[in-house]
Formats: sequence, structure tokens, C-alpha cells
Amino acid sequence: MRSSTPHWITGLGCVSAAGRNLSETSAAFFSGGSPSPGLLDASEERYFKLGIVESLRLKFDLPNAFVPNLFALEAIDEALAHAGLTRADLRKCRVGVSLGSTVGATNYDEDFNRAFFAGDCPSTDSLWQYFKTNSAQFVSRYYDLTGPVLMLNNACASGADAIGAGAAWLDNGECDFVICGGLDLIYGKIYRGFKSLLLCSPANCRPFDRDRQGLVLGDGAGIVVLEKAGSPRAARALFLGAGQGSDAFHPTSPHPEARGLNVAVSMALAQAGRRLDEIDFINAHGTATPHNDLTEGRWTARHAPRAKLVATKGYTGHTLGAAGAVEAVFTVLSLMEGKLPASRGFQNTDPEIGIAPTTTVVGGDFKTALSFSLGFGGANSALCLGAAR
Amino acid sequence: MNPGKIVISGMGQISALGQGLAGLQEGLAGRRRPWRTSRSVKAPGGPITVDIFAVPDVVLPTTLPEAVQRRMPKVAKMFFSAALEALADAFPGPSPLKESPARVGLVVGTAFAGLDLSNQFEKRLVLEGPAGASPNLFATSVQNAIASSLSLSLGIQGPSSTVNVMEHTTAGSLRTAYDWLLQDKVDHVLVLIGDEVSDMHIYAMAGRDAKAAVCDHPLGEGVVGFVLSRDSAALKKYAAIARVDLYQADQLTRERRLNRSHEELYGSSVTGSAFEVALGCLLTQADGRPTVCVQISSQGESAGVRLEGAE
Repeated sequence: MRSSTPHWITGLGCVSAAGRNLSETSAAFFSGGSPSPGLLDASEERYFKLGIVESLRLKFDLPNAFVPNLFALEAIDEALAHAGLTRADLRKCRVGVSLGSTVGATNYDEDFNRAFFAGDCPSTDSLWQYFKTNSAQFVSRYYDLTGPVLMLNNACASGADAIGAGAAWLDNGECDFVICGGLDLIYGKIYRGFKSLLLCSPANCRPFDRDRQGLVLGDGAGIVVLEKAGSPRAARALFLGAGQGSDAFHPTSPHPEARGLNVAVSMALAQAGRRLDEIDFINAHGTATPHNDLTEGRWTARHAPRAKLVATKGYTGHTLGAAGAVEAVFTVLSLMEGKLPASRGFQNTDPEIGIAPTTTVVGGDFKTALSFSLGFGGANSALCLGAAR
Repeated sequence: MNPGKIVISGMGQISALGQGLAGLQEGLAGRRRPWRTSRSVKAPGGPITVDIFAVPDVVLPTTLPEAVQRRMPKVAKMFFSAALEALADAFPGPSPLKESPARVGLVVGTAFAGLDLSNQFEKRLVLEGPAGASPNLFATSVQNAIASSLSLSLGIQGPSSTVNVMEHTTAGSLRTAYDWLLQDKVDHVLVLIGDEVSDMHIYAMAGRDAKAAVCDHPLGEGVVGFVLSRDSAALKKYAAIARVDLYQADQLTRERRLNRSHEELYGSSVTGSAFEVALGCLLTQADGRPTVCVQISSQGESAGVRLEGAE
């Protein structure tokens, strides 16, 4: 595998139901803190909405912005500050933007769609907003950047894939650093779709639990700033490798033997120059759906029994196209803090899986981790990340 | 390991010029004209009729079961057609998909297919309420559904991605594949780029500017398939990809430069630049001269691909 990795992760930003920033997220994970009042709004359709849209519109002075883009800007602002980058710094460099999303790549204006499909003639403004505000292009223009721009839509693997794509640009000297990650917004149509597939849990989700009943969806965005090693800014963690593989099996169910995940992990480890027995922990996709957790859990029990397993969707819900990036941020947080969060929602080991995720905060000298994303369409991604110390 | 040059080793297309690369070649030579049709659609100011360079029909091989074909929307059939042709072009003998399926990747580039697929699910939901939420339509409403059905049907087990960067979708798709090859993650990548003209698309165009929907070059639809290969793994070579720039591509050399230069063949389309890359490959293959294919966004940013002779 050809790569100039490791690259440095110098900044992180995250907004999700676990917290509106890194410090709230860290408190929720490691100190038993609970999400800020007003942040969560478990709507009657039972998904985690971030109740911060209006405050973000005011903050960024973008009264009509596409909502997922606001989530992205919030996470990017935090990631840039975390990296110690100012707007002036951005203008001196070639800065790439690589983002992944599902809803962020479609027109989510339900009022327009309702009227259009009912035979009315609604204003085309929201359609044009969709045409003109592809999230990655929007971010690049918002910050007035000069560098490559890419938007990936690979279902729930989108955010992780976008980080891998951004890293490739650094390998090839395309830019000085990359703002990469994922963003997504949940709304009625998405909820109805997952419900029609019988994948939504009537209660909070319970990843890997014997009695899991499905997923809970949630809004979110996660961003990492990637730079070549040797940057003047401090490395928070190391990007070591990325891999992707396809199940070629079923539109919505993972391959029972995790065929695509195997390819993705092998590719990520090859790029990272690491072996599976060197992996200290795995941040699982862990949606709490019967099939996903069975496949992922069995794979881990069989191939990486020494690695600790963490599932964080009990805190965030499933943020879809953002999930791979949100969880890459969580993985880096764990590497930085030397702590793994408890896997909220898990209580009883599923005998068919035979492996349990963390149930309390676990400390350790964690050096290398994998973060998995498994998406509809048989999309699988694995990121290999390392501690900077 | 040095991957060497990255070459385009196979191509396929479906458009108003017909199904097959020969249609594009004949169009380039002035021997074929695009199929033009009219469609009446509602528009904000009242119904309008627009001309479209449309794909008249898609014939897929009988190896794809009829029941599967019946359920496939037209846009998915277009992608399948271009995929099968490009693969057959690149691999006339044994396919690497049989021997090492994990060393073959897939990139689908589209600006609007995600919107169109998503609409099929949403339309039922709007018209029938929650009871109209179809699990099958939801599964095919996800933006990577075309890539998913392609990887499933063709047995592609390597990386798969769907790219949407509006006017820069062609460059973004080729860049994604190019990077995987440079990193030696795969030996070949099937890249499919295109769009269908949908009623919602026309509605949007008409709502903004009725003239835009009835311009000299009608809206066009179609898909181009490319197989990108590491030089050492390629059996056939149309052109080498010297570079793919996702920004400031207008700084690429001013040699033969294509920018919506052949819209009269494929129609006006956000992803129409894929046809320019295919035509650029044919031109470079014919005379060995480099070709630069540039795409300019609505905001003036440029992306582009530089092709060189493969030998």
C-alpha cells in the first residue's frame, strides 16, 4: 500500500446529541455528565434533533442556510479553533474540504416536496438552494478557501470515507491541510424510511445488547483537521490508514461473514502498517440493529478478541452520513484522554455475538484504534487512528 | 510500490446518441445526431414543453433477470448499460472481478440521481401518508443505491463511493478513483458519471428562467463509463490521466481544451463534462496530443482533467 502516512490530526470538532462541542461530549463520555438542557429534543417520531438550529442561524448570520451545513460550520469552527487556525491562516494555505453526508446531498424541504408531489406549483427557491449549496462547496466558499473540494454520499460510511479521501490529498501534496468529516440531518422522511424497514427502536438504542430493538436516529456533524506530519500545530492524534470494502450482498443488510468489512480493515491496516493484534480498541458502528451488531460483533470476537469494543450510538443516536466522522472524533478523544466511555444502553451479552462492549469508563495506554462504519448498500469503512504521544 | 501511470482502459456510454461508445464516435465524426424529444411538464408559470436530448430506451442483457430489470428505474438502467460496456471494453477476456473482486473499486458520480431516487420514496409518502412508506423504495432512495446495486450485481468488493460535487462531479469522481489507484488500494476502478433529466429538474429550471429550459442546447441525459487502471494492469489504453485538479484547473495548460465543447451532441447537463472526458480520450488516442477537460462551477471555480497519450 502506498502512502505517506501518518498524517497529523490537529483539530477536532463535533456536534451531536452527546454534546454541542468537545468538552460537553467529553463530559458525557468520561465524567458521567449529561447533555446540555435544550440540546436534545427526542421528537414524537423518536429521533435526536439538535435544538440549536436557530442559534446557529444567528451565530453564522445565515438565516436561510441549509440546516446540515449549519451543523458542519459549527463543528468546523470548533475544529479550526482546536487546531489553533485562524481565518487569516486559512487564506495563506491551500485548504481542502472533503465531506460526507446522506441528507446533505438531497433536498430535504418537505414543504416543497409535499406541494410538488400533490400537484401544486411551489416556489423553486429551496430546489435552487439545494442545487447551489452542495455542502462541501458551501464550506469552501464560506471560508473562502482555495483547495480541492469533494462531497461523498456513501450512506453511513460517508463521513469515514471523506476522511480517507482527504488523507489521500495530503499523500499527493494536493493541499496543506484538509477539513474533513461528515454531517447529517434527520427529518420525517428519513425516520419513516427506517421505520418502514423495521429498524427503529421504540426505546433508547442498546448496541450489542441481547435485547436490542433497533436504532435511534440523530442529527450530527464531526470534523477533523488533517495535516502532513511536521505541522507547526500540535498533533492530537495520528491518521494511520483508511480502507473501504463492498459486501456485494444486499441493499440494506450486511454480509453475514462481514466480507466488505474484512476488505476495509485489511486495507486500512496495510496502509497503517499495523497488525490486528496491535489494535487496542475498536469504535464499533454498533447501530443496535439485530443484523449489524451480530455481524460486527462476531467479526470482532473472531478477528480481534484482544481489542476492547466501544459503541457510542447510545449517546448520539445514529447520525447516518456523519457517523463515521463523529465516531472518528470520539476515537481520537479516547486516544487523547486514555479513556474509553461506557457503551450506553448495553446491559446483557448476546450469546450469539459472544462479546461485550465497555460497560464503564475504562482507562488504558491506548496507542492504536480502529473505527468502523457499515452502511446501506454494503458500504464498509475502517479508519486506523493512533495516539500522538 | 510505484503504481506507474493511471490509464483509461475501457469506456462505455449511453446518451441521446444511443447506447454504446460507437454512438459517441459517430456523433464526433458528424455521422449521428442526438435523439431529441419533447416533454410537457408543469412549471411555476404554467405548463411548458421542453426539448430534451433523451435516452430513448435502455436494453440490458438478458443475463440480468427480467424481474430485476422491471424494478430498476431508468436512471439505474442507464448506469448499468454504461458499466457493462466499459467493463467489456476493458476486459474482453477473463474479468478481474472473477479473480480478485476486492482489487476492483467503483465510483458513481451524479448530481441528481440521488434526488430522483429519493423522490420516488417521498412521493408515495406524500400521496399516501405514513402507510405509503415503502421499505423497498426507501432502500433505493439512498444516494448510494445505484453504486450498491452495481456492486451487488457485478460482484465488486473493493471500495465504492458516490460523488456529488455538482458541476465538479466528473473531476471529483475521477479524482477519487485516481487516488485509490495511486495508493495501490485497487488495480482497476469502474467510474460511472451521469444524470437523468427529471421533471423536478425541469421544474427548477423553468422556475428560475423559462429560457434556460428551452435553450439552444436542450437538457441532456446520459451516463459515461470509464475503467481506470494501473498501467501495468491495463489491456487497452485510451489515454493516461496526467492529473485531476479539483480546484483552479483553469491553470492547466492551454493545449486542446474542452469545456462544454460538444454539448450539441449530449445536451446541457451538470455532469455532461463526463462526455467531454470521453471525447478527450478518443481525440488523444487518435492523435497523441494532450487534452484538458475543464468544468466551471456556477460560482466560477474550475476543476479539470488532463489527458495524455498512454503509450
